[in-house]
Amino acid sequence: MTFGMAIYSAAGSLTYSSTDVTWNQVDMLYVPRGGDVWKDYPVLNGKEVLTAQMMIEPPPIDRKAIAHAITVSGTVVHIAGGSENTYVLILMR
Amino acid sequence: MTTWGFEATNNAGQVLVSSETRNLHFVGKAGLNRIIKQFNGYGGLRHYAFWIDCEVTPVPFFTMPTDDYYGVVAVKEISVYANRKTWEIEVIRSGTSATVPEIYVFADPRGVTARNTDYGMLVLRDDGTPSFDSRLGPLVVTGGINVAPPSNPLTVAPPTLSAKYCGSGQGAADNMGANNRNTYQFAVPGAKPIFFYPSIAQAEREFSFHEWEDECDGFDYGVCIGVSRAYDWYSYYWAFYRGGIRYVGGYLYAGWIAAEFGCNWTYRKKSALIGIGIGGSSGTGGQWPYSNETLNLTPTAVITANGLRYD
Repeated sequence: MTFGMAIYSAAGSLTYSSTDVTWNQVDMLYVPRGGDVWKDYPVLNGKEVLTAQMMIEPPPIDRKAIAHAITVSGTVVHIAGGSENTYVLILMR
Repeated sequence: MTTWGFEATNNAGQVLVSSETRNLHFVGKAGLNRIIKQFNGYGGLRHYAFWIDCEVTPVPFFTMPTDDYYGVVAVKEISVYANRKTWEIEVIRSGTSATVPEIYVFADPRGVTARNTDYGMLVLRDDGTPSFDSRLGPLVVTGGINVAPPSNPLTVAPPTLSAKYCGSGQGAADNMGANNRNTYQFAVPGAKPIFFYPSIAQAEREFSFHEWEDECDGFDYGVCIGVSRAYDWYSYYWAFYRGGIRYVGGYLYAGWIAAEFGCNWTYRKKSALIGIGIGGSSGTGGQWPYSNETLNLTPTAVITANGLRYD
């Protein structure tokens, strides 16, 4: 390429460049069942944000396993309402 | 961005590296520890447990080596060894194939300790911890989409099954495999697509059947003149499903994987002499699920990458 960034490995193969796309991890939060978390991430300002949640224990069959509701408003992430212990992944690009 | 630090963007203006965040890097492939559960009816299930050592919470991607549905149902730290963190990643798959998916694990660079060279680019955060390290296989994303399965895993109810003591187990197994899905046109570039998809959605469906019989020892004139017995049987066949994705030929399908099944039955007998009750008996057995509903249908992010890049 004629402009941009290219990073090569010691073997000379291209590892990473400005033609690539990725999601950067802003945080990986542990949110317990019944938890209510507000967190401000100034780095999210003007960025595309993606969130995902991974339950720590698989949902049981003998009761409801309600996922947390995750909302992003500006730079503030709000996570609440879930009945299971969960990891919440916050990504941006 | 603040007035200090490092930030690189790609041609689309999206952040590639930032000293205020952490890139995901390739930790390694998780090893299959055991098959937690499997069955061949109800569309089939293989419930795997994979283990990997990682100092921070891992982000697992999986291959889809068969045309079945896949999903990650749990990620938990088990730390079975001293001085290192071990994680168990539970993956479910529909179908009956013996082929096991590969699990590619990514994490922020604090989770990776093996750096095989001094050559590359390292970006640190203001606290001195790594943000990006080109030696560790930074994650390059090839696509992303939000998906959700349809509310009902089944498009048709099973045919009539036996109401007596859950006697149609095979009939339920043959007819209650999930067959409903949402379809997304979604081509994943790269020779070996890998997928991040946490399975959050869940659904339970149940179908009840009732049979009855009346017996009369005597003369039956519409009303039994003698000793009569009235029998009632109920059976509630149920299956519990979790969300899964399937990728075939440029289409991503969001559907369901049967993760559990069971049946509950009840039996009641009432006896009478010339219409006057003289007693009875009843019984129940089998497992009962929590309710007949679908949860967590909020669209879930699917992120894709090319596994070949990390082999």
